[in-house]
Amino acid sequence: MLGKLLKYEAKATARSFFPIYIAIFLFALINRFINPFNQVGDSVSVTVEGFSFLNMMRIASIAVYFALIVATIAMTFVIIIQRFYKNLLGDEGYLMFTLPVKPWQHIVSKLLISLMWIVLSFIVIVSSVLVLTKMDNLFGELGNLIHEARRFFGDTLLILAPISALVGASYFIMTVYNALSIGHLFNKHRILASFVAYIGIYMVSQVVGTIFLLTMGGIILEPLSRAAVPDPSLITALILTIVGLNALLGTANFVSANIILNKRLNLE
Amino acid sequence: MSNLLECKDLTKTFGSTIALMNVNLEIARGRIVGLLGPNASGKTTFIKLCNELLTPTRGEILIGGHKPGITTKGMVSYLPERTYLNDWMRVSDIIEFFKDFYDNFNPEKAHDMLGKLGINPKDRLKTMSKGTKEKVQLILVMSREADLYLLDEPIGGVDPAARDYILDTILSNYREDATVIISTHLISDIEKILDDVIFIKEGQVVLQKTVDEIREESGKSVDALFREVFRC
Repeated sequence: MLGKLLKYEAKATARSFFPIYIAIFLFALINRFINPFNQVGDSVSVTVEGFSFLNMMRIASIAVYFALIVATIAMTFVIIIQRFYKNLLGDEGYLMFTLPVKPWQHIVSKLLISLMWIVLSFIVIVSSVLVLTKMDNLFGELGNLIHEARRFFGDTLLILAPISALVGASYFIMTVYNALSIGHLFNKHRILASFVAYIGIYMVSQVVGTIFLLTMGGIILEPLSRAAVPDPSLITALILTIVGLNALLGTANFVSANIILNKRLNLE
Repeated sequence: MSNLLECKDLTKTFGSTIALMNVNLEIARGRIVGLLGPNASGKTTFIKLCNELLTPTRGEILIGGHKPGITTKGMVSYLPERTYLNDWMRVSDIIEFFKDFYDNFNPEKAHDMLGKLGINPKDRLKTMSKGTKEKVQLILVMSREADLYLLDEPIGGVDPAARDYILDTILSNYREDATVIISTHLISDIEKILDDVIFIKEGQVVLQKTVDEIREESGKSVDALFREVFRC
């Protein structure tokens, strides 16, 4: 059943993401061929004849490209909220919660598909930059960067970076889901209540996080603050601690949202 | 035969508001039951409790011997009093959706009913009127070969001609050992198809009888008895 939920969740969200992904690549390509950075950025060309129709096109197309990137990030964020709020806690919840499916499966399917879109949006934005610029050059630069990072931090940290990003994103998404679930317990002003709940969860998390880092991370933070050149293994340990903390807080949010959807469901 | 649905001391409160109070019910298989009561009498709360959309404050519900959960959701076909269909799907997509999630969904039946009502499966739900959406929803619900159909105000929003069609659809599409519970306050329209009636008033069951019993004992129609019991 989880597989089926994932399939429909992907289908329901894909129709929002694919058009904007295509548009980003399209405008990256357009910009690549009319090459705005050389022209717009070059002060010499901004003369009277520089303000030609072509120049205006260049400025417009690069502006559209950046607007699309901002829109993609904003849309990813909005859809994370909207899918949970509308599909589970709105009228569509009457269908979703009468399917022979456990509430945790709804939460997990929405979480996994949200993560998928975050990763895809990231890949699309980065690769559109590759399309826009001279690809081989950028690949080389990226290679150098990765090489330098490996030399300094070691392989562990390089593997740890995407994991910590995914755990961090999951923690954020679960906080949003939990806040929306808490907000829906109220009979009126549910969106406002969700917003207040989010701030409340955030504040509690900060307190828990600070205590956690002070006790657990004291062993790491203290030598780290004293070291002139930080030891990579200390940095690894610190990141691991933060990943662990995020995983813990994310799980707490999951448990809370799951209890609410199981026992306190209160659709309008 | 054992009962399909049983409630013991079922109570649901929302804060200080009592929605249902100590409801005890036994409903057998193969019946068409009218759950009748004025607005805000607890009909929808009862149906939502049966669907696990609400959790009882006290007491329990058993459907085919199971508490509401995954097993009962497979057995119960529920028509809520609102539209739960998203508007970006086509009718054919939502049929696929039902087929995927419900083992007892019969797509041929759904396509057959859509054809009779002249609804094109390729139409998007977005382009449909509220009444057409309600018909699509009823078709989906009645195309499941379920044990229990819970229909919350199925005829509230449609015109009288469509009402007859809907009642015919209900009558001709449920299995013989299945039970249909219809909640409504439009009694005269559905009286002719009911086997049993349950009167519910301010969260309590005030009467549970067969339609024949009512006619024999009081010599009144269900509608007339309803007006008497619920006189304002």
